Amino acid sequence: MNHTLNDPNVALCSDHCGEHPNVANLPELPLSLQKEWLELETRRHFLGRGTKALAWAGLASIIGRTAPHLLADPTALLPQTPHFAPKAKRAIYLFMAGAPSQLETFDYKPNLADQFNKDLPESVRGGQVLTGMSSGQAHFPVAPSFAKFSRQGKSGMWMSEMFPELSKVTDDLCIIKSLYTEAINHEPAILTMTTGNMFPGRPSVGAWLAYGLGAMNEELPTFVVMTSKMPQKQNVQALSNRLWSSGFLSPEYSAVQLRSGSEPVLYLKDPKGVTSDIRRTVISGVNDLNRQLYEKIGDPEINTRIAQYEMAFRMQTSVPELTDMSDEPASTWELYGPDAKEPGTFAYNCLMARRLAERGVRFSQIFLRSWDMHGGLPGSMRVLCGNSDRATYALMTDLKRRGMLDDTLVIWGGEFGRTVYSQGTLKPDNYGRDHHPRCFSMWMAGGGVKPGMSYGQTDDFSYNIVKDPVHVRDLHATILKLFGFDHTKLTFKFQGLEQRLTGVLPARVINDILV
Amino acid sequence: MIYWSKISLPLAIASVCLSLQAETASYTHDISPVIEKNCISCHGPKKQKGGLRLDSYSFVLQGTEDGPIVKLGNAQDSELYRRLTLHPGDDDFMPAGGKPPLKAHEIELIKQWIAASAPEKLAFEFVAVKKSVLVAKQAAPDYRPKIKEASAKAESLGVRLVPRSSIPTDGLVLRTASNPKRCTDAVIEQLSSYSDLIVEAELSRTAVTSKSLAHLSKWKNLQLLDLSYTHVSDDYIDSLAQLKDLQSLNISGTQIGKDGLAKVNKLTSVARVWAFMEAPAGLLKK
Repeated sequence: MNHTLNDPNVALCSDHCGEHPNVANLPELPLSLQKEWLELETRRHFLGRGTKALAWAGLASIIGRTAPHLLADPTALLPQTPHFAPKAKRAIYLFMAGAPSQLETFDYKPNLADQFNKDLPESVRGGQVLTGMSSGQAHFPVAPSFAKFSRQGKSGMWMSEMFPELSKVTDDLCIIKSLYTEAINHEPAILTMTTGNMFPGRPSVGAWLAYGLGAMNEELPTFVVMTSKMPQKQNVQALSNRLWSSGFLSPEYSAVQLRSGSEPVLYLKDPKGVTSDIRRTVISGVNDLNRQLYEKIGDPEINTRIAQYEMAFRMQTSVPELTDMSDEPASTWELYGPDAKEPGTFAYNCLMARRLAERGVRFSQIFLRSWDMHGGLPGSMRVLCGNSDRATYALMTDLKRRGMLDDTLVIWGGEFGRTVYSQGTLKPDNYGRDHHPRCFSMWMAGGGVKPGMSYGQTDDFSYNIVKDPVHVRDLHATILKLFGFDHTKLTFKFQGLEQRLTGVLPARVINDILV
Repeated sequence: MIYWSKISLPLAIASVCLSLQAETASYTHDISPVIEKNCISCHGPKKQKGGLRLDSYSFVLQGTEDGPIVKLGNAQDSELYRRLTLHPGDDDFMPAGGKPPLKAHEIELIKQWIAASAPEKLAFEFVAVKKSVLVAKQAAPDYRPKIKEASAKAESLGVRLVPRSSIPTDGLVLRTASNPKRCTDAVIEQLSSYSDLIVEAELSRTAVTSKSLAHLSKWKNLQLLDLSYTHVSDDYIDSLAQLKDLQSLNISGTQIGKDGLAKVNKLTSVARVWAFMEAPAGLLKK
């Protein structure tokens, strides 16, 4: 149904009828622009954009630019196409929530053994403001890593004894030792890593990719999140769906959470007595009503709702097939180990991530918590690394042998680093580490990342970066590049800005680590 | 035990030698010919003496009403092996009725096969990485004049043709992940009219067979061909030699055997080959 601008329905649905200049007074507008204006007029959409002035700005921009559907270039008609040929088609992000210490994992500092219990030089700290958890300490005694390191692989990179299994694939890893962030506490730091901004409400990396790339498999969500059972219930950070939300992007780009247990996706099963046919009829009916509403008021969120109903219906078939692991050969279980049989473990989630990748899911994010080791670090480190090492290695090996690592990007890391000085009492085999945003380590592999290299360097105390700093937004710009996007051009207009994952501050693609 | 033969070669090595010396016997490649020659006349589609059929892998594992004839991992306790190794005068000896006994190497093969948990297919891992960096290949023709038509055609066939990027000479990707089983040999044949635009064919888990290779080998701009977990076999595999720009080939989990693999290995343009073969699900878990 084509609306005329005098359509009484439009007037009824707007709270602001009569207050704003009349579009009909403007010079003749193409029909498509009138339609776009209608969308802006919709009450929810209008309120979503804040003020009337912003709605006006929106209209001005519509008039000012040539609408894509009016361009002669037919590629402009293609939604969700990367700017250039992508190296990575999908990503698996192993998010180590709570911030694993870089000193026991990837940033080897052999000289620290001589510094045991000596105060961290003031010159190194440089007057940095510390968290309230350790700022009251009289001393900041250096705590060398209890974990030993050795050179591994042909690349000869230093690997921690905490990762005996992962060490076998050292030559596939690209270790970045010079990450930094502004956030010093978990929630803002995790948000910064997942959404590029420490304030809630921004789209997660996975949502941006879903928005930019679209689905490879329309039967499954494009972005999936899994949280893992904790090997120990200490140092736990709260996780919430704002970490994987679509923010101001359409809700269809937010992640679907796969849960452990009998219902991997909640409310997907038909209730007792409801057959698939009945469910189909109900959804078709609801969607017809929604389509009528859309024709009436033109709110694009209604279309999202229709799409979500259809996706849920498709997932009734695709999710049981996905989560039924009885088709896995014995070699899978040999590789991942017995933990992988138990739903919800990190190992199970890693295997699930491979199954998701095989089926064309773009972005799988697995959270593993309990890395926040303010005290008792050596003991907790053994538990956490012990819990995740084999599964991480298994996932890498599995992707590799199936020929998937070439175009699957694997990312491992937390939200910030930890202090070289001990928080609380220091013993050679027992100490803690406080939050440290100035440097931390991550690794990436596959998907167009150079294998067997390390990038960036910290000082002798792993306190400050001395070479090749990588801000979180640089990391994000690099990830987008691997997926074929210029990060300055993957944008979404919101609140008057061409919003982007990397924000408004300059971000740098780390070309040195790309194949 | 499954033996994983693993070959991983770095950098620009022109040919990769196969080494499968300690490889396990498999039903498809080793056992089925022996059974075909010696047993099928009495235990096949026409006759099922003793209620036993041996003309497919599942029949062999199924055994008779009295129970399975193969005890995975244990030849001595397997009725199949026991009957073959009895004294030829014994009533239970097979083949019965004075037919010629199996040759010693055939019996040995069956013994090894059962000891290795009787896999249906070859189990090995083969990774050939001949070049660490893929070279950018000559671009495909501008997709703009044909893209609407091509993607509509693909959609009507239940698959998708999507641009690899906004750069019109980056070619199209054949994408099947939404419903791989809808992509059959007929679909490949029908898409052949757009073949010069297609640079990547994502055919993993589809219904394509070796028949499609005859068509695919004429898709001259193909750079990536993922045939993993399809029913593609050794037939026509050497026709892929016509694909001069093919860089990445995945034949994991296919029916391709030693002979096919040797042919794949001769495809000099291909920089990366993956062939991860494993015994089917549900078998070794017992």
